[in-house]
Amino acid sequence: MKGTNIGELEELVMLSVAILFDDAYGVAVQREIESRCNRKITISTVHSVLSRLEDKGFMNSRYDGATPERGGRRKHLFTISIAGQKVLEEARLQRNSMWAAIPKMALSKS
Amino acid sequence: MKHSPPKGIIKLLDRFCDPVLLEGIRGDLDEIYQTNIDRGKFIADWKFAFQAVGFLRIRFKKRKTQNSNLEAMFKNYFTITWRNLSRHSFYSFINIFGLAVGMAAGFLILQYVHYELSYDGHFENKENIYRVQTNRYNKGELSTQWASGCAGVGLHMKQDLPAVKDFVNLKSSGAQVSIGDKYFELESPYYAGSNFFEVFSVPLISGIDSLVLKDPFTVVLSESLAKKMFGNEDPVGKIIKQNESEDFKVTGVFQDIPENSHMEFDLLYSFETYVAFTDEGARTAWQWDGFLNYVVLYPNTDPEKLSEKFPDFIEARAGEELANYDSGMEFIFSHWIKSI
Repeated sequence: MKGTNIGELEELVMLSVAILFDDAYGVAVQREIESRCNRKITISTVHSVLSRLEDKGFMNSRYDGATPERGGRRKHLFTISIAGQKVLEEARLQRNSMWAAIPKMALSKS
Repeated sequence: MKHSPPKGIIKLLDRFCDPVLLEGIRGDLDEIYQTNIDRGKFIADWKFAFQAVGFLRIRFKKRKTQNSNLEAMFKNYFTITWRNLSRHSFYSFINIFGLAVGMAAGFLILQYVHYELSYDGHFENKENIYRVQTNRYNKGELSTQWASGCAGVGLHMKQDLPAVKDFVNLKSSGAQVSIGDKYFELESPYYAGSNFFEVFSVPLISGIDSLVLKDPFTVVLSESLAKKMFGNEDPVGKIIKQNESEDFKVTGVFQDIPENSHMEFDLLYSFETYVAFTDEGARTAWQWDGFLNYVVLYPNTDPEKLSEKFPDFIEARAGEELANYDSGMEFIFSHWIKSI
């Protein structure tokens, strides 16, 4: 399984879930990504990423918090699991180390 | 909640989606719907439908808990097929490609044959209509063999042979046609007997079958030619000029002849005109060739048997004349369908 690495969109979704903490469900994640990254993604894409991440074990989910505009339905709430946290940190470390490895001359020109 | 999203789409989702995920999906869709409703129900409904369709993918699909034996069997068949095909990929390619080319060729041939067989299919009564071919002998040797034969054969066959119900004669014309200073290109125009539209089921859009070609100097046009000549005006009653001298009155318009037809014309003059140009011989002459004669037989007539009467018929009508020139004649019924 390719489970140990995450894609760019998966990373964005996981970070959004982390930001939203205890109120991370489909629509909230979609709004978060739209406002922070100026990027529109369809609600079905968000759901599909969330459920894929849960399958990989990077997320935990539960149902809670019904509101009237949802027709009295509960939200499918997500939180980052321990494994998910590790993957995020790894991704960040990888990037940091790669950034650090860039010689100063390579980027200063522009 | 004042408004609710389209019911049909909800039903589709309910049926398709995994019940565990469904609550979250429906809830999110409803939440978005309620924020969109300010922009009008129509827009909200459309957005809802668009977003809902996004959920129709495998990830959200209901999972079957039980795997039936039958399903597993077919799955196995497909796996094995695929493995064999990819193991012998080159031969698979040759086989499948060959089959594809063969089928394509087969379909093309079928299409072509179907088209050829459909020739003249639009003529009702076509199995009882025959074209009379005239063969002429000079001093015992075959000299001419034409699809178009002598002028009077159709008329005289109708008079002498009781099995012949009707006839119609055609004479091709090479004349030019113009309106004012505009000239038109024609596709093999003919002078046609007055009962042409009764014998051949070419539908008239305007005009009456038995009247359109009754009088001299009348002309019938095809739909597309009429459009070319007069645009959207009604052509009936208008005048067109033949060879910059004679005026013809348009008496009718017929539906364009389908392409798979042995005759293709877009204009017919009345045969009476041709008689007026020449003389009565155009109806009756036996020593004047170049006329297409179509005869209609009564249903269930055997054309072979009828042909046996031709020698006597020729002898009675033209025997003396032919003997003077040491020449002979012969008529052949051709079902024009078979002459392609």
